[in-house]
Parts: sequence; structure tokens; C-alpha cells
Amino acid sequence: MNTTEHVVEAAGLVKHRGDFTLGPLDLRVPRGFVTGMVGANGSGKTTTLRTLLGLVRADAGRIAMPPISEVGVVFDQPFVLPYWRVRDAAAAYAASRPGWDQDWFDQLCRRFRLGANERVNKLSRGQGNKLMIGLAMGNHPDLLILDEPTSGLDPAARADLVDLLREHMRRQEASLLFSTHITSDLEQFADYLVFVDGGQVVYSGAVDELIEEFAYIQGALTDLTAENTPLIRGLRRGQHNFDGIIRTADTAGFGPGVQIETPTIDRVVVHHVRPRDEEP
Amino acid sequence: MHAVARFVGLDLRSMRPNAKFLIIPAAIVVVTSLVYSAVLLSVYLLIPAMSSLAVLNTPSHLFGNDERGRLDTLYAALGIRRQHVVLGRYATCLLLLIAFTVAGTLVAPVAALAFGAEFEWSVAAAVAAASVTLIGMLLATQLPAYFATGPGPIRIVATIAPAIIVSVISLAWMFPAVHTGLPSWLDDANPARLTVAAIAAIATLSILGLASTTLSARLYAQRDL
Repeated sequence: MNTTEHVVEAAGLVKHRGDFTLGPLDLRVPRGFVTGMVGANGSGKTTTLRTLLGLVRADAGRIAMPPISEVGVVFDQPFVLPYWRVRDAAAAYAASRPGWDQDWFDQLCRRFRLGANERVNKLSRGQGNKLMIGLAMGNHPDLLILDEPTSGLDPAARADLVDLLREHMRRQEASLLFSTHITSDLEQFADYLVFVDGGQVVYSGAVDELIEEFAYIQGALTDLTAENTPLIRGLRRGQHNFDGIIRTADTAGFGPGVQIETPTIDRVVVHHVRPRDEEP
Repeated sequence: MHAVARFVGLDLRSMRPNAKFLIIPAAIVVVTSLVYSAVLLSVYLLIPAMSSLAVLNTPSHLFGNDERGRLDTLYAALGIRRQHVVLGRYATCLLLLIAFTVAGTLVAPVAALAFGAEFEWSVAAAVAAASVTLIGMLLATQLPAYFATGPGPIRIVATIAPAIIVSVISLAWMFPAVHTGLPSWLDDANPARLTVAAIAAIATLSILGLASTTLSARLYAQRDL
């Protein structure tokens, strides 16, 4: 990632919030690509995004971002007045966002089946997310920062949103930073991944490299030895079997009886955040 | 300046769909002060009563909207800098204070005509100026607290404290020495002294307003939204 031009760069970012400390955290979002940010609830994804946007003041660190007029932002809950109608929210955006494209916004509303006269507080959670996505995309921003945009969406709506984001990404220079705990959304979509756990970046790089770097392992409990057990991240023991994640480089530590597969992002995340070993 | 004007537009837009929450308390204040005026045969109280809406109702409504709609996030997403949010909010409150005061000043002669009470524009102008000064000072004291914490922790105190002050003034107005004495005192007053008093009031309000805006900008800049 070092040789790629980055649309967002943060270095040494630190934020203390009660008992939770984010960072020190270095983050780079490559220009022209989809970067997924994954991690468990409370891992620091939203705090990171809010800090990047200046909503939360960093205690330390340096942030380089494009001007906010070129950034579309979506959080997991709408940030417009509940008694506004869709058209009121669009009018607020139109008045403040340079390059606002009302035709494009109307087109998005039709695609999302949102009526201009619908009140925000009458929208379902999923529809509320769609409204915010429409507003964020209404001026064709170069960078979209989406925090859990698929939460509350049914599978068909999630797939439609991913399609829409793919269309958006066809534009040269368009970049996307997409935080989610529904990692399946990123499997076929993200180019890069930032994996946050306990306020720290535990992986930052290409999705392919993550999948190459880790392997999903499963086998019989009898295949576990004192030597190879510590190599397994998020070891889960069943009655007779176990599974977990290992570094691909450690594959040789296991006998021929175990199954080693290419992991999904979900498996890497789930097993990474589990304790290193779990006794039966 | 354009960004501040844009914010004022957004602020006013945010009030419009839910205006009933402003109209109901306004109606209560207006009706009460009309009853007062009819009983005392002195209509000047209508002016500070209307002005007081700018401090009793407006800030809690505007900051309440911010909280309800997570509008602090909206302002950031729209690229409105925090300093412009502060300046815009002060401008909205000042605009509404002037609008309410003008409304009170225009209603007063109509009420005087209806109740057969005396009305002099010079007295009304003096009362309006005093109302803007007093309510402006209360706003200057109140707004930094809202910017520091949001409306949740301070809404009740920030509403009750000026309400007590306004109530005390209303009660004082009931004394004949005050409501009948003020017009004659103004008639007798030396114009030069009145001018000095007006300049002093404007200067005090300006200094307080500037200090308050600076403090609010600093407090809001430090807040995590």
C-alpha cells in the first residue's frame, strides 16, 4: 500500500474515551479503491471514522482528508430531523453541497422507493439508511465514508446497495471507506481491508493478502499437540473437533489429518477476536 | 458571511415543520400579557413579554433539534465549520429576538386601541430597546452553556433561570409606580442622559455578545459530537 496514492491518511491517531483508547493508529485509504473496515462492535470503527471527519477531536495524531464538500458521509442512523420530509433533507443538502445533482438524487430515491413527501420518522431503519446514502451520493463525491450502511437492510437491499456502490466506483478517482460488521458484504467488493480490534489496527492491506496470509483450519482434537495449539488463533474446541485460524506460514506445523482452507474475511475476523485458546 | 447566512437558513428551516412547539408557548405568553395589559391599562409589557420568547423558548428548541436529529453530524457532513455553526446560531437567536420585539411593538398599539389604554411610540421604543438589551444579555449568558454540553443537561436550568427574571419583571410591572411612572419618567428624563444610557446599553451588549460568542466557539470546538 505504500506506493499507492491515498485519499485519507492518518498517522499516530489517538483518542481516549473513558476506559477505551483508540490507537495509536495509522490508517491509509487508497484512492480509487474500496477499503473495508471490519471489527467487532466496540472495536473502534465508528470512533475512527468520526475522528477522521472531525466530529470527535483526536487527542494526538495527524489527519489528511479531502475537503468535506468532496466527501459523502453515512452513519448507521440518519442525521436529519425526524419530522423532515425527504424533500426537506434534500433541500438542506442542496443548499450546502457544491455540485448537488437533484436529478441524480431523485433517481436514487426512485431506485430506493423513497417518496419525496415521506417523513424521515416514518421510514424503516433500512429506508433511513437508503435516504442517507442518497443524500451522501447526491453531489457525486470523490470519497464516500459509510459507517455500517447495510445494517437494517434485507439481503436484497444489501445486494442492491453493493451494486450501486460498484456503479459509483466505476468513476475514476472515486474512493470508498466502508465500515461494517457484516463482512460478507466485503468478500467480493473490497480491495483493501482495515481490521480494527480493541482500538488498534491489527491488519491493513489488500484483501487478497489477508486471505493469503491466514488459513482456516479444522480437524480432530487428536490432531492438536502442545506445539501446534499456540499457532491457532481463536481456537474453538467441539466434542471431537476443533477449528481456528492460522498463519499460512505455520501450515507445516499440522499433520495431514487436518483440513486447511482459504478463509473468508468473516472467519478471520471471528477467530481473531476470540481468545487465543479456549479450554473445553 | 455566506456560510453563516446559510446556517441561519438551515436553522430556520429546521424550526418550520415543528413550529407548533414555538406557537403554543408564544400564545400563552401573549394571552397572559394581554390580560395583564387589559387589567392594568398599560400595554408596554407586551413588548418584553414577546421578546422573552427569544430566550425562554428559542434556544432550547434549536439545540433540542440538534439533539433530536443529530444535526451536529449533519453540519459537519455539509461542511459547515464549527465556528460558523456558533456564529449562525447567535445570528438566528438575535434575528428572532428582533423579530419577536418588533412583533410586540406592533401588537402593543393595537392592544392599546382595543383596551382604551395610552400608547406613545417613544415609550414603546425605549421599552423595546431595554427588552433587546436585557434578553440579549440573558442569551449571551445562556448560549455558551448549550454549546458546551448540548441541551440535555442544562435545558431546564437554562429555561427556568430567565423565566424567573422575566416573571420578576412582570410582577414589578404590576406596581402602579412602575407601569404609570415609566412614561412620565421618560418624559421628564434628560435626552442627553437617555442617549448615554442607550450607548452604554449597546456597548455592554456588544462586549458581552462578543465574549459569549468567543467562549461558545471555544467550547463547541472542544466538544466530541
